[in-house]
This record gives sequence, structure tokens and C-alpha cells, in this order.
Amino acid sequence: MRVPSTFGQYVPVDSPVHSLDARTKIGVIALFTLGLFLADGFAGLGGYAVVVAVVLWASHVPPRIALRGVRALGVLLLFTLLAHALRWQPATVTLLRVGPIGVDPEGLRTGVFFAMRIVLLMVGTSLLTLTTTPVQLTDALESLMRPASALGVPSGEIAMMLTIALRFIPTTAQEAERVIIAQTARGARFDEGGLVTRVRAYVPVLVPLFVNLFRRAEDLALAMDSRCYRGGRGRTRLHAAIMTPRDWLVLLLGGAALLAIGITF
Amino acid sequence: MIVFEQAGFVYPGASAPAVDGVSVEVEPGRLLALLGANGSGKSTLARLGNALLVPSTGTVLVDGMDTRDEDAVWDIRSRVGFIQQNPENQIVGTIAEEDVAFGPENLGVAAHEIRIRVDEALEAVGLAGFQRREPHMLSGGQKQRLAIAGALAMRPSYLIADEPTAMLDPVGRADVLRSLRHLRSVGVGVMHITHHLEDVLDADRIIVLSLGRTVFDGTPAELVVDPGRALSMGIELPAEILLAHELRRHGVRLPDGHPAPEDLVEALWPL
Repeated sequence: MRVPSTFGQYVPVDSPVHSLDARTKIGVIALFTLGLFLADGFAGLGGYAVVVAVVLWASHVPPRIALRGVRALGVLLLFTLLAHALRWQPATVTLLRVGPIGVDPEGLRTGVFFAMRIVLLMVGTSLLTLTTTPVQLTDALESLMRPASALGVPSGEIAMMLTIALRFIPTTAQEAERVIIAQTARGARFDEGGLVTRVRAYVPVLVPLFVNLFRRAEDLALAMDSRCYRGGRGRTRLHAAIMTPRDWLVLLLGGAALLAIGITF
Repeated sequence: MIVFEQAGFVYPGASAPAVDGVSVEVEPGRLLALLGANGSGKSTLARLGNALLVPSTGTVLVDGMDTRDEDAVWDIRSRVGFIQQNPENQIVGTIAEEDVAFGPENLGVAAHEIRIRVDEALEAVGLAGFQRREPHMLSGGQKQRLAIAGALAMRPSYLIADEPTAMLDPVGRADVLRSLRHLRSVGVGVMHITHHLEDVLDADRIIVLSLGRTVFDGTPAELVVDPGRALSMGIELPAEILLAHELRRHGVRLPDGHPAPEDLVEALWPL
């Protein structure tokens, strides 16, 4: 298992989009999503397509990487398109007929519309994870959840848990690889038999992996205790995220413009 | 000063105490080495030193504060850094500088001050320039030095290191030992727990534990004088010291004290 040097989708380059506060990006994307679902014509989608293209260009993220997720959605897109376009023994005028199945022009239009919306949603929202590090995301989450602390939600602790989970993903992946190699050396096979056999072959990998994770958790708890961790209260941060005037401008103007596209078209 | 006074600890449900009436001091700018076999109570004693455990009998005082005093616990832990054997398991941050910042963040230090401390601490362990490195991209020795930096950023007066070199290769081990010596030279009191006498031959004081009790308390020179006695305590002397003993026994004249390998070569080649 190769562990990438940067975990997740993050593309480590400098761009005006990268330097925005994560909360700004989350806010703008929320409004983008809302607007996208309000839009009910191709004009609206066209508008959003232009916006997504411009932001993608400004983010210096290679389009190939941004579109990677779309390919994974291929089946869903095809299904959406066909489910709308195809009619069984169509009564209406059809574009094309193969036996009892026909393509309905109105349905095709709707299918293309929905498929386009999925693609835009996918690419638009992935710009968040492509331009924001996991740590920035957890910090933003903590900050956005802070009002909920008044209701007793442990926002600081939740963010800390997420950070630690992110921290230990590569470690756990490396460890899983070591266990797999160790079990392979002792004759375990992971590449033969049916689905059930293969899944069962991983039991001897998961057991030591979990045992080790518990041991790690114990050590980590000691280390955190030793370094005076006592929950989120009174904690300061090395990188305190600050909303700059630019962030507010992008959030308010950008968000309003995105929403306006959806309402107008 | 960390003062262990007749400190004892019994784990819940255990029949015999893990540590039994140990008295020792960790002094600023001095290196105290703690040796002993597995199960001798070394790690338990280490945890008594920064209030991760509180003694069942006797007392442990850190700069005069009793570790039993719950109000003093955070003050004590900020004065006593603690690092463990497995470097991987004590790193909290997703990149080096965030991990070093973890302690000061918990203490509520202001952001610009944390920045200064983080850079200083990384510099002190020879990891300057590794600020944005991810932990899994570091070697074992680098990770252990990162853990030391994490403790240093809290500006501790003492550092307790529980077998910090046990999982490292020779290069990583030498780097970690160098970092610990550097701390001693800048006035930090270091308690170094180890299996290897050669890691701590320059200690200011060595105590050896067996079954929770102190069986030796003295200087390294006093410990290596009698290889038979050291071995009976489960301590294997480094090869060059054993060789020197044998040579002396057979009438070869060598300089006094316990020679380093280089000194031994120097003394032997004219023969």
C-alpha cells in the first residue's frame, strides 16, 4: 500500500482559492449548492458552469484531477440520463425507437439537465477538499460548531478526535501493510478464492491491527496527558484562522451572486 | 528538583508493589539514569514523576509541589516533560510544527509566543526546517526528537525519557542521546530510563531497580568496577569495559577509569 505524502485530495499549490479561509469556502459552497438546486433552466446551469470553470482556473488545480470524481460517478450519470430519456412503449412522439423502447426528447432534456447538475455539484464541492488541507477543514468545523458548545456539544473535542483520526490514517495504513506482509510470509493468501474466502483472509490482518491500535491509543492518551491536554477549554492555537476582509467580501458578494443565478434562471 | 521520597506504587489488583520505597532526586542540569530489567518498576517510577500516577506510599515532590495535589497537576506536568518508547504513538499533530505546538496550545500560550517556542524547540533537537513535515515522513529517530521538541515547547525544568532509544536504529539512537545531552547542558534535569548502560555512561548518577527496589545507587564508575555484581543486577557491561577488565586482570596496564573504545585502542596499539 503506497501512502501518499499528502493524505486526501488536497492539491498543494498556492492560489487565491487556497488562501481563502475554509469557513468562507464552506459558506460559498453551501450557497452554490442551494442556488444550483433552485435553478430550473439550462441558462442557470450554464452560469454555474462558467463560475466553476473560472474558480477551477483560479485555483491552479489541474482540471484532470478536479474531474477525476466525475468518472467515478459515470454509472450514476448514465442511469440518470437513461431513466429520464427512455420510455417503454412510448405514447408520445419519440426521437428514436428500438423495439418497444423509445427515446423521449422531453425526457432526454430533463436527463441531460439532471446529469449536468450532478457534474457541477461534484466538481464545485470537490474544489473545497482540493484547495483546503484536512487540518484547515477540521479547524473550520470546530469554529462553525462553536455556537453549539453553548448547548453542551463538545466542539473542541470533536475537532481533536477528527485531527487525531487524520493523523493516524497513514500510520494505520503502513501498519496494515506490515501485518499483511507478515501474514503472507507465513503462508496466508489474499489473492485467491471467492469473495467470502478473500474477506475471511483479512480477519488475521484486522485482529492484530486493532490490538495495536488500542495499544497506540493508550500511549497517545499518556502523551496527551503529559502535555497538559484537558479538553478544548482554554486552548489557544498556533494557526488561528482569521477571516480577512477579503474572506468576508468573497463570502458575501460571491455567495449572493451564486444564489442570485439560481433564483433568476 | 523532583524528589522521590520512599515512593511506592501498587497497581490495583496486584499482590506486590511495582515500586517499593524508592528515594531519588532529579536535579536541574543533571542526568539521572535509571536501569533495570523488564518489570523492575522503571516505567512506573517514570510515571510517578509527572503525576501520571500518584504514589501509594511515600511522596513525590516536583519543585515542592506534591503530585497528590490535584490542583497542582497541570503545573507539575508543564514542568516535567515526558517521552515514551514508541515515537509514533506520542505524536498528536498532522505536521511537525502542529505537534510541537500541542503542549503550549493546551497551556493557553498566545499564538505568536507558540510560534517562537515551536521554532526554538525544533532547532534544539536538530529538526529546524522540518516544520511542515508529516510525521509518517520522518525516521524513527526524527520522530523521537520531535517528541522531545514537543516536551521542550512547554519549557519544562525536567524531562523524563522512558526508554527513548529502545525502538531506534544506531543513527537515530545517537541523535536522541545527543538531544538529551544538549538538554542537560542547558539546565534541564533529565531522567533517562534505559536497558543499555552504554547509553548513560556519562550520567551524573545511576540507580538500578530490581523488583521495584533500588539495588544500586551511585556513579557509572562505581557500577562498572565490578562486572560480576553488575551482571547479578541484570546489567551487561559494554564490551570495551569488559575487555579492559580482562586485560587488567592479566596484567596489562591501562589508564584508570572506564575507557571509551577509542581510549582503549590508544592504550593498546603501542603494546
